This record gives sequence, C-alpha cells and structure tokens, in this order.
Amino acid sequence: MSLTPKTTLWDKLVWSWRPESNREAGSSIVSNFLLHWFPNRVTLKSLAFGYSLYLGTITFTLFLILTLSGIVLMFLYVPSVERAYWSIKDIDFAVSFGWLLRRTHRIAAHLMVATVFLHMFRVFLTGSYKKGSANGSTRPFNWVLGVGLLVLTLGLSFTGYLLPWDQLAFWAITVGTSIAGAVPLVGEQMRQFLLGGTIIGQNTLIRFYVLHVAFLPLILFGVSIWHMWRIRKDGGLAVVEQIREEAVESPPELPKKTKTYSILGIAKGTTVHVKEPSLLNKANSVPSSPFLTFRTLTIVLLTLVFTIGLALITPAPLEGPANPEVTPNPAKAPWYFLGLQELVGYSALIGGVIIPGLVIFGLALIPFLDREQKYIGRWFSNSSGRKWSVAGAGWGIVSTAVCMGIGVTMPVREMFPGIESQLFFDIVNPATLLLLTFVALYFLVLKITGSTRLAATATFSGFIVSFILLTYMGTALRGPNWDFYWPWQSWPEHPIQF
Amino acid sequence: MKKIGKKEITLLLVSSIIFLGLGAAAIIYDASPEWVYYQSEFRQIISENFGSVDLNSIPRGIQQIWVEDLNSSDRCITCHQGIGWKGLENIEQPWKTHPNPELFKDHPIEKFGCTICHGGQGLALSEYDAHGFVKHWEEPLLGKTIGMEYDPRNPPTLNEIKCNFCHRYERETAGMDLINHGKKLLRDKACKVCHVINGDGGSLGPDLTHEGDKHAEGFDFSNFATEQTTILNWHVNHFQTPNNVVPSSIMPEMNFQTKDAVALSMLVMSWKDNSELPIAYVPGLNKKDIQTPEEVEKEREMREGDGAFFVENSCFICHSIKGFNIKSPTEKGPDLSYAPDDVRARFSRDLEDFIFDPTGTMKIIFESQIVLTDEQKWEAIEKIRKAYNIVTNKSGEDKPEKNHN
Repeated sequence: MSLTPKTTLWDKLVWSWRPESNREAGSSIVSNFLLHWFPNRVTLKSLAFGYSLYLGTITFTLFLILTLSGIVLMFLYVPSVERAYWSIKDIDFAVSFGWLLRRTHRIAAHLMVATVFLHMFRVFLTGSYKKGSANGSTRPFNWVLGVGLLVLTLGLSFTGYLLPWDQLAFWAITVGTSIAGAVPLVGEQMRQFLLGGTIIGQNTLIRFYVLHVAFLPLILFGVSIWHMWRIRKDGGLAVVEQIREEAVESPPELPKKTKTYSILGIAKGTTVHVKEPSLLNKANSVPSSPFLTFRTLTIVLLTLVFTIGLALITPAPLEGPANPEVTPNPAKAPWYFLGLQELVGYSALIGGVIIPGLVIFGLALIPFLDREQKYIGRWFSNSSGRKWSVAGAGWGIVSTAVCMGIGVTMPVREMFPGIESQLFFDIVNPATLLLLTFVALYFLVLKITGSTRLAATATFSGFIVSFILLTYMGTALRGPNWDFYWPWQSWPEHPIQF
Repeated sequence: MKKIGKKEITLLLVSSIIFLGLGAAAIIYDASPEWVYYQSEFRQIISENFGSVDLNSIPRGIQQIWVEDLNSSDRCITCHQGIGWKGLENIEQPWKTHPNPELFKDHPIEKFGCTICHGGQGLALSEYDAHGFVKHWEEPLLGKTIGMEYDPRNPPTLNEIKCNFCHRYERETAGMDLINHGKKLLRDKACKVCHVINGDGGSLGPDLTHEGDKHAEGFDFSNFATEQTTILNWHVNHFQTPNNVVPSSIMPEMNFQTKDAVALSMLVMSWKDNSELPIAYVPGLNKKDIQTPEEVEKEREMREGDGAFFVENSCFICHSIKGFNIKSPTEKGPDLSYAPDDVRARFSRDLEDFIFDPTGTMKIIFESQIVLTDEQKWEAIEKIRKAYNIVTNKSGEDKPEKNHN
C-alpha cells in the first residue's frame, strides 16, 4: 500500500496528520472517535424497540432540533421588553418559514420535557439504574446525571417560556417564580435573584434569555454527552445484564483468543465488550454498523417527522403583550408545573417546596436506597413486580383522587375556622395527606414483601399516576379563580372589547 | 449473516417520504401567502382599467408604513394597494380606493398609517389575522362587519372610537357624528358633576379619564343577561340600566335611547391614555403659553383697535404708538404718535414726503422688509396723524403712562 504524503494547500488545511505506515493507518482508525461512536457489536436485546423505546435517542434528537431551530430564532428575536413581543409577531407573520421555526421549537420543547419524563419512567421501571456486575459500572451515578438532565430540561423550558413576552409567558413565570418565593428564609432572595428585581421586567428577560440560549444549553449538552458516554462505560444498556446472568448460569466455554485495546487512550481500562467477548456471539448480537446506525437513522427521522408534522398542524399561541397590571384568570404555570400548582393551591410550603424538593432528592437517591442487584434490565422486575406496580398505580389513583376531592369539596380553612396559624394549614392540608399516603405505601409494601425494589416500584408507579392526574387536574379541571370544573362543564366565556 | 428487517427498511423509506412531503408542504404553504394573489389581481385590475400605466411601477412584495412617532408598522397596503389610486372606487375590496380620500389631507398616510384610525393587526399579512378578530387581539378592525353585530340595519360607525383617541379634547369634530352626539350628552347630562374626566369633575363616581384602557377583567359580567360579553355591550347596558348591571350602583337611570347609549359607550371606550402620542397628533390641546387676562385683553386691543394696521404690518416691532395704546416690545424707533413733529425736527421734511421717500434705516426697511403699496402708505400717514391728534389733544391731561411701564 502506498501512502501519499500531504502536498497541496488543501491537504495541509484539512488534515494535519497523514499516516506514513500501515501501522499508523490502522492506529488512526482505532483512535478515530466517529468510528467508535457505537460499539463494535450490539446485542439484539439492546436493539429491541420494546425494551428502551429509544426514548433517550428521541430526547437527544429533540435537543438537536431545538438547538438548530433556536440558533436561527436567535437571529430574529430581540430580548428587550419593548421589542420581544413584536419580534415574535414578525417571526409569525413576515419572516420566511418563521412560523414553522417557532412552532417546531415550541412543539419540540414540550415533547422534550415529556420524553425526558418518559425516559426516566422507563429507566426506573426496567431497573436500569442498578450497578450490575459489569466491571467499572457506575450506573447509579448515571441515574443521578439523568435526574440532573431532567432539572436542566425543565430549566430550559421554563426560561424559554418567558421569552415571547406575552400574557401567557409573563404570568406563567410570575406563578412559577412565586413558588420559589415560598421557600422558608431564603425564598424571597431566591426569587429576586431569579428575577433581577421584585417584579418581572427587562432584568428578568435578559437573565432568562442568556440562561436559555447559552448557559443552560451548553451545560445540558455537556452533561448529556457525559450521560451517553457513561452508558458505554457502564457496559451498555442494562438489559445486557440478562445476557451476563445467562452466561453465568450456563457452563463456561473455553477461553477465546482475543485482543484488547484501549479507546483513544483517554479512558481507563478497556470496554466491556472487549474484556468479555464471550458474552456476545453471533446468536445474541449483530454488528453495530449497519444495524444500530440504521436504527438510529430511523429513530431520528421518525422524531423529525413527528415533530414537524405536529408543528405544521399546531399553531404556536401568542397572547396579548405582557401587562403587569392585568392578571389573566386563571393564571397558570407551564403544564409540567401544573401538578405542583394544584398542590400549591393547598399549601405553598408543602406543594411548592417540600414535595418538589423531596421528589428531586428522592429521585436522585433511588439507586442508593434500592440496592438489590436482581432483575436488572427487566420491565417491572418480574410477575410480582408487575402486580405491585399495578397495586401502586391503583393506590396512586385512589389517594390522589381522594386528596383532590378533599381539596375541592372541603376547604381546610373552613373546617377549622377558629385557627389562624399559617403553620397549622401548612401541615394540615390535602397535599400533606397525599405525601403521607405515598410514604405509607412505600413502608407497607416493604413490610409485606421485604423487598426495597418492590416497595420502590409500587411507590414510583403511584407517583407516575399521581403526577399525570395532578397535571391533568391543573391543566383541564381548574378554571377562573382556580375553581373546579368537570370536563363537560364549560368555563365562563372570557369577555372581549367588541 | 443477519440482514436488516424488511419492515425496518420500509419504515425508514416511508418516514423519509413523509419527511420530504412535509418539507414540500411547508415550502408550498410559505411561498403562497394570500397577498401574492391579491397583488397579482391588482395588476390585472390596473391593466384593465388604466392600460397606459407601467405595471412595473406598482410595488411588489410586503409593503408597510412605518410611523416612528406612533411606533406602528402597518402592512395593510400589502393587499390594499388601491387606496391611494383614483378611479378604483367601484372595485371590490381589498383593491378599492379609500372611500374618504379628503381625510388624507389632514391625515397623511405616511404620518398616520392605517391601524391608528381603523384598528386591526397591522403587522399581520393574512386577512384573518390582520382584521384582528382573533383571540388575544384586543383591537380588531372597526368597520362595518363588527358594527353589524350590534345593529344590522344601522351599524354604528365604531371606528369613531379610534378618531377620538386623538380628537378627545375637541368639543366637536367634523365627521364624528356619534362621538359628537356623545360629547353633547356628556355636557347636557353634566356627567362631570359626579365623574372626573380629563382632570376635573366630582368624586361621587369613578374617574373616567382612562376608562378606555380598562381591561375586560375589570368588568363585572356576573349580572349580565345577554350572551355577548363584550365591553361595548357592558357599557350600553350600563348606560341604559345601571342598576341591572351593577346592583350597588348609585348612577341614575337617564332613559337613554339605544343610540344615546351606544354614542356614550363609544365615547368612554375612546378615552384611552394618549399621553405617549406626540403633541402634534392631538388637536384641541392648548399649545400656547399661558397669558393673564390683562395680557390677553391688551393683545386683543392691539390687534383689533385703531392701531391694528401697525400691528398687521409689523411696524410695532420697533415703534410704539402711544395714541393707539400700542407698545413696542423693542422700542428701537421713536413713538409714531409724534412722527409729524419728529420728522420735521430731524429731517426738516413733511411726514408725507418722508414716507414716500425715506432715508437711512427706514429706506432699507421700506425697500426690503416692509414693502407697502401707495394706498397703504396713505393709510399709514392718515393713522399716524390721527394718533398725533390724540396725543397732542391729551398732552395737557393725565397721560396713560402706566401701560408703558
């Protein structure tokens, strides 16, 4: 093989190094990042649609769609109180494809929040946060990174919510940030730090803008790259543990002759697949290229089609220009906070601070509380896990419905007219009751089964159901004055000028 | 060797085709807005009606009137291309000539745009969005369509509300019949006894100076019988039967006819805060310096009294004329009341002679600054003699010196 030396200017500009021997040529392939994006082989179990549902891939694709559309929108949007609203009007009406850009950006943002939650549900329900037996696996830590990514995604969505500077934006952020103000002692300072003042104004807009277009996306990009790299270092998707378990149970094969090499020299140790080549064979795995690359392409394309298709038929709303003097009725936070807003209606301290704090903290702690190294990478663990999951969901439906029923029909303040202490109502209210039912559920299942995994599964299933119910309630069943309306009851019509 | 499943390949192909289809749909949708059709139709109309007009002189693409003073960009003329043309009066909208072109004399379109008078969403480029009958756009096009909703046979000219945004301080404005009627009722019924309007009035009722800025949330529709919960309807009902709308109200029932109530409702809805409008846009405002009554009377005397001639022709800038009570602000020249004596003493000439053939400063003034006809010169001489007579006859008596200090 003859290796051509670099001679032309073009060669010098595009490639700084050219192999001068076959050994160097081979080494350049080994050290090429793009060629090692995927492992050499991928198991059929990992590839299956039904296991991962590709929710992580979809989420990251949505992030890329958001980045690309967001960069174009940055050329068109003016982050000033005077111009912001009108620049959105221009994007909608006069800019070529501006309407599509904004709709796509908005739809992708909502979808990303949803898929991040769904991805978390999937990872929990398949027990994929467990360490397993792979050498060097730190899956529990990667779960914590994932919780961080959830918080970052919510932060990105929340900061972007303000930018159109319409009534919806202004009051959603007012409601959202006033929840932060409910934190004891430092709440007001936190709120003012977020807003850059006592009310939402130009200071808030520029803070949220910089967070939204530069700070948070860069952090989210970095952490998600870390998150995905950790999956490789943790031995691939957790479903691979099943293959390992089977391999342990079956009689040992004769050792195979193999070679090992390190990736790029930047990662310590060797990859799992290299180290334990006997796990992957022609029966249980396929080459990543073309199988995984093709699959990824399909998923990316389907995500694009779904997002853009939805954008084409869903106009992005833009209400009247932000007006601090006119509060829309009802004023609502972004949809993913409406479950919280429902609870805040009972008690700002419990619903706005303690429950979300416990949820985020509790989520991050899950892999350290549930240390059972069984049923890794299996949906609902096993049949009894499935049973307890259904039981937990049922418990969630009942307890949430009861607590909301109490909240709607029996206002605690009217039941205890003699008491004026705010602390009393912060302790005695439906939100606290809901929290206690979940604590009770966890310990009840733990006592019956003696398994932390089953207790966590039941509680988590209940949490998912409760989250969905509360969000639905805050979105669809709460009308003007935060009054309760059944789905078939229409809200009073909003008056207009003419 | 395993192969990629046929189903997956089909899925990829189908989604690729859908993706391309969506892209094509987006391109077609974006490339064919309504205004492209309206503009090509307009060219057609022009070439049919005015064969000689060069079609290339008709602008293409998005057109807008940007009025910096009003902070508005109105793109209405993108479709309404004919408003400035003569001879398209009988063409249908949106190509029609503006029905009241005489309004452009005082309201040049480049200084006013469209929405300040008509309402609507000036930035929008489709009929539906631009005419503004969309959710969350509070200022729809106030034309016949919306008027018909209130009275199909005799639709109120609601866009007078927009007129009165600027014309609010005028007692009466030509062409604003309903608002004028409302303003007359306002005076006849003495609304200011109870309400502050434009800074003065009683305190029994609320201040109505900026009533038009009140948002829909600020109105109580809970006692409203009709389905149409609009602010205009609220006002109309409230003017006719205040107690039915606000049970606790102490506002008296005035037995207003529907027309009266509509006129008054439009009037109060027009009372928006216009303090950000440049003052040139607000007629009826007192834009002069404030004078005392004595100063006003003195100025009137100077303008209308016997010495009016000298004020009109600017003589008084340099000369006082004591005989006519005219005081020069500069007093550069001598008092003209004494001119007959003065001219004789300084130049040894008659007044007539000097006026017709002046020397020195007056020569320059009469040649270039104050050019008088012969009749005017005779008038001047006659009036100077009259003033001379007044001061010389009075010279023995008490001189009205105090005005001169």
